[in-house]
Amino acid sequence: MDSVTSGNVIIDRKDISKFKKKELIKYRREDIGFVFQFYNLVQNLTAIENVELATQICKHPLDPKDILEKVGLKDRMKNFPSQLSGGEQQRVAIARAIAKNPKLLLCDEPTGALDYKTGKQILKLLQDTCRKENMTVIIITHNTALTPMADRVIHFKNGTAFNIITNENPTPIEEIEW
Amino acid sequence: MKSALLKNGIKEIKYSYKRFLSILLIVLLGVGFFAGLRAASPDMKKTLDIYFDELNVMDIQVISTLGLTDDDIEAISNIAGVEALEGTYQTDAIVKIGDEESVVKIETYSDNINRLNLIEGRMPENKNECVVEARFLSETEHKIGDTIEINVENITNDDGEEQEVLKNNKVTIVGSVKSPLYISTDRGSTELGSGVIDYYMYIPKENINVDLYTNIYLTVAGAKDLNTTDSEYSDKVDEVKNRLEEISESRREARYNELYDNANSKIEDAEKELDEEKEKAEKELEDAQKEIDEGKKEIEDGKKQIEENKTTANNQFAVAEQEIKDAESEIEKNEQEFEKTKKQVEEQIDEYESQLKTLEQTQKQLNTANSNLKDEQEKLENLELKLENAETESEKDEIQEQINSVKTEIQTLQITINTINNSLKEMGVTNLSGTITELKNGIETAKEGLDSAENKINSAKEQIEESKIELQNSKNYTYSTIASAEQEIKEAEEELQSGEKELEDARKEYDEQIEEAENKLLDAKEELKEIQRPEWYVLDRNQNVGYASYVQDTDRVASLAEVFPVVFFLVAALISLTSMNRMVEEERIEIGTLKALGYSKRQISRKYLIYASLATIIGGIIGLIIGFKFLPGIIANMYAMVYEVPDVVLEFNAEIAFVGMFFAILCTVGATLYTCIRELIHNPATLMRPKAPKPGKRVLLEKIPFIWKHLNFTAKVTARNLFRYKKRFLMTIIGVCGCTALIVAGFGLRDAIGNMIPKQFGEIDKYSLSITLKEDKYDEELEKVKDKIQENEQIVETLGANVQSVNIIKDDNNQSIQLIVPEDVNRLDNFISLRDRKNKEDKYVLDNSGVIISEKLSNLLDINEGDTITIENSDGDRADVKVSKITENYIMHYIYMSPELYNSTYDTRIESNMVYAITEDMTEEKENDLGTKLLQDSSNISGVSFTSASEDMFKTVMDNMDMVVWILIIAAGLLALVVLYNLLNANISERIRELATIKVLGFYDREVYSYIARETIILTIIGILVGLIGGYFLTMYILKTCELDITMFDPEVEALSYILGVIITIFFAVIVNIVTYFSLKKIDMIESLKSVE
Repeated sequence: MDSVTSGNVIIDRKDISKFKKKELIKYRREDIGFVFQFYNLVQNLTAIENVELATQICKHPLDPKDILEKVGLKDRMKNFPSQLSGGEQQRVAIARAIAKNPKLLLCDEPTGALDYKTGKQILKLLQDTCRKENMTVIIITHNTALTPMADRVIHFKNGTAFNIITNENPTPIEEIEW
Repeated sequence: MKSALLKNGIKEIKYSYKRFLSILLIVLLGVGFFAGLRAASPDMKKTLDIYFDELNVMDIQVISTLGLTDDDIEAISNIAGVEALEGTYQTDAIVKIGDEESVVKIETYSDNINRLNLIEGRMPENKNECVVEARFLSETEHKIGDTIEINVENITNDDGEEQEVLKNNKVTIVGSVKSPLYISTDRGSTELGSGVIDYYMYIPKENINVDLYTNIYLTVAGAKDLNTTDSEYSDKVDEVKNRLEEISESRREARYNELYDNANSKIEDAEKELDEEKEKAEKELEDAQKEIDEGKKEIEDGKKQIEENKTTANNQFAVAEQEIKDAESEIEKNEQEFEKTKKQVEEQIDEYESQLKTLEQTQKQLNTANSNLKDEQEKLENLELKLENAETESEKDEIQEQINSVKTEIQTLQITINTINNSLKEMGVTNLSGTITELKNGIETAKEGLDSAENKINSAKEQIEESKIELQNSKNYTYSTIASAEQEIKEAEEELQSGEKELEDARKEYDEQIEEAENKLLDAKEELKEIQRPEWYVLDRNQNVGYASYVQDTDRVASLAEVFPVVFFLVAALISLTSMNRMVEEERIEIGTLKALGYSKRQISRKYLIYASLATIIGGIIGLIIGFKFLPGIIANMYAMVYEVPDVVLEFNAEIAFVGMFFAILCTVGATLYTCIRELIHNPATLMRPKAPKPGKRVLLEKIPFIWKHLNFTAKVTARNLFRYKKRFLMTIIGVCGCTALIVAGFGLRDAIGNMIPKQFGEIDKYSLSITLKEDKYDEELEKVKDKIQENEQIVETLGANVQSVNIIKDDNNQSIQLIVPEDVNRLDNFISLRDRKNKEDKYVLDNSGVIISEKLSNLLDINEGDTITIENSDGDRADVKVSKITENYIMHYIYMSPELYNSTYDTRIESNMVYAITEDMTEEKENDLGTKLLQDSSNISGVSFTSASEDMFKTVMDNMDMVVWILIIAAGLLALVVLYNLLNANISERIRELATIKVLGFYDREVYSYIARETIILTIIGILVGLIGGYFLTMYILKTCELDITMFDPEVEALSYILGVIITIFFAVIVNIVTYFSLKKIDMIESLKSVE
């Protein structure tokens, strides 16, 4: 999405900061799942269609219906985003990201627009996904209270990483309060 | 505060310049087209008005069927409201140009009314000069300085005499002009040649030999100040027209009386003259008869005389002959007597001669005896001597013996002599020799007497011979004299006879002449009865073909101006609506903030109103400038090919500008206001929260699972999106549809006019040549002319026809219509196709049940099959006929009638005045050669016209049409570009998050593009389809408005035009899509991370 001003981004032994634009798109398409703060669902598509939007472009997608069931939206599949609550929308967004079967799931403030309870549910979903699907999930957040649930915490300040902490025993999300 | 808002507004423009520009552009287009098209008609009319004012063109024209006099001028000049007037003389003439005869309208010119626009050279200075129309110089080989011969038919003057119209019919061209009376290509019709006037020319009054005027032109006081096409002008002119009509009655009566009296006194004179002539001639004939009679008598006398002379001569000759006969018989008598005497004399002579003979014999015997005696005596002497001398006796004895014998001899001799003497004595001859002489003399005398008698007889005979000859001569002479006299008589008789014959002839001739003269007199009397009351035609400018058609054409432009801008304004309104709507929605938070800060609704909306009005005003002003400046010029230029008017006068038309701007502002500002009001109702809190995204909706299509299930995912997305943004949907379709429709209309217009020509001149008028005959012909004469024409091997077939200008009697019908009556209805199809336009196979054959009329005529006059129409033929006879069919035809109006129907309808015998011919394919050069040859070969042909010439003329019109097509394509293209770009722009900026998101999801650029473009493409396709239909109707509308009265455009739009419409629309769409592709590429994915505004 953005290019580096200095340094390298090496993922899976590939220096993606040196990728060309097209390679980057391909990389995003196949290896990355993205969850936005504001869900960024296509308003004109139903929940399942939003998931399908993602699955139709990648090589090994998961079944959109299964995923939606997993995120607990079995009954809301045919609903439009405007008919869903924020949490539900975010779950659709996560479903959309997971359905691509990515190697890396990037979440930009996934709970930023959600209330406490829903936020928790979403984080739970993400953690479960990470554990069950063996997916690398990166969550970006201002909320430091969430750090205990992570396997590794990277602190950023003014655009540079200054502290990397590895959590030997991550706390389940249910136990975290903020 | 205000200034901060203003600043904000200006910054807004800078920031969203694309949106600003698109509003500006669509307003520019709308206002430009509106103003330009609207202004074209008034500008053109104004141009005409200025031109007409400049040349002081007449307001009213008076034409009389029997000419106008100075008295008429005097009378008209006294009418109130007449500013100036001028009488002119006008006539049609034949001018030979090469081998072709052109028909030229000749008129005298005036320095006051209807001034000419001098193009080249100078105006005439004397009667031997003329000026011609500019086209004459460019189309013929003539140039300034050439002398041309004008053949004008003599006219019959008021005295009924033939009179030459021109004093000098060989005039020198000194200049070329354009007359404001002939601004169109139409020069009117004529009875000469092919009936069409080719050129006009002007000559000075001095060259006219006639005291009459054919036209009076007048100007109306104060009319010049008015616009010629305005109703105020018409009202003013009509006032004077009405006054003119009022006096026309008395003027016409005066003119009629003048003519009647003139003719009547003429007839009286002629009658008197005839009587005198009759008397004189009869007297002459009588004299001649008398003379002949006298001659006859003389001849009789002569004959008698000759007879008498003959008898006298014959009597005289008989007497003379008798005399001669008498003389001859006397001579015969004398001769007989003479013969008798002669015999006697001859007998005597014979006697004498025998006597003489005897005597002479006697003498001879005597002489012989004497000489013998003498000889014997000598012998005796000798012997006696001898005896004396004899010696011997023997010798003596012998001698004695000899002497004895001699003595006896002598004795015998003596005895003989004695006997002779005795016999002589006995005969009475004493003197023998005397007697002999005497005898001889007697014989001589007798002989002489005989001779003289004979001579006498002979001379008498000769004399008679002479008299006979004399008589013969006399006879010959007399008879020859008589014969010559007889000959003379004969000749005289012959002469007399021929004289008689001559007299007879003279008498016959006289009778004939008298009859003729009487007939003439009768005719004249008949004519006198037939002297029609003159008709006055009081015409105004509207009856001037050029003026009227120009005004009509400008009206057509005006009606075109009513449709086009509507499309643009509609689109402009929609675009402003969407743009402003989007803009206001995009700035919800700002609006909310301002509202929260305490700004009034009015203050807040002012920004957007200013934004919209600024775009509208700038766009409008540019549009007005461009529109006023270029469009009327382009349109007028197109018409300039057909009309001879000065360059169009461009002027700023405030009314149009105001109306255009008003509508533009109404569209944009109205749309803005609507949006603002809708938004500003909400309270600030609502405004500051992001507007709930427009909810997704199920579309109708989903209810048909059969189709929905078969659609792939992206198609489903597209389908939903299409129906989600209804405004956009509508706008795209209207924009694209407008674009396609305009292009189709452009090409359709071109097709319609383009097809008209090949169809008219290839499929309908199949003949390639029409030949005008000098005189009407029929039957053998026509065949002869046709045979002569067909001697040219290029000519395949010919058909005689009667072509005349006719009139259909119906209200408000001023169409010029040609009636064609072919000599043979069955062969007509080889020359002119009569058929149904829609079903070309449905051919019509003329029959006696009715006429066939051309389609445009039926449309204009609302005549249908089966209707009965009244046709006034060129002789002015009217008759009702039924319309049996309506035939396909594109140029001009025609009525076709079978000769039998014509003859029975008009109770006449139709004659051909035209021969249609089909030729082989020929180059223009060969056509010219053939034309020249035809004109040279036959004295019957007055004109030759190839259809290729008309084809060329219409092709020029076609070229002009290309310009229209270009204008339409450019307009369409601009429309399409503006609309599509605006829509795509709106689409992108409205859905930027969505697009950024799918980019983040890993859509390739192409996929992102097709994700959004698919909608546009589908909308474009729908727009195109609707546009094709719209294009058809637009074409039909434009065709109906643009159509001239004499033409019918082929209402079939060719498939190619539709295809081109599609292709060009797609081309514009592609341009917009390419732009879209790049602007999509530029979308930053970071946008997806931003919060919803």
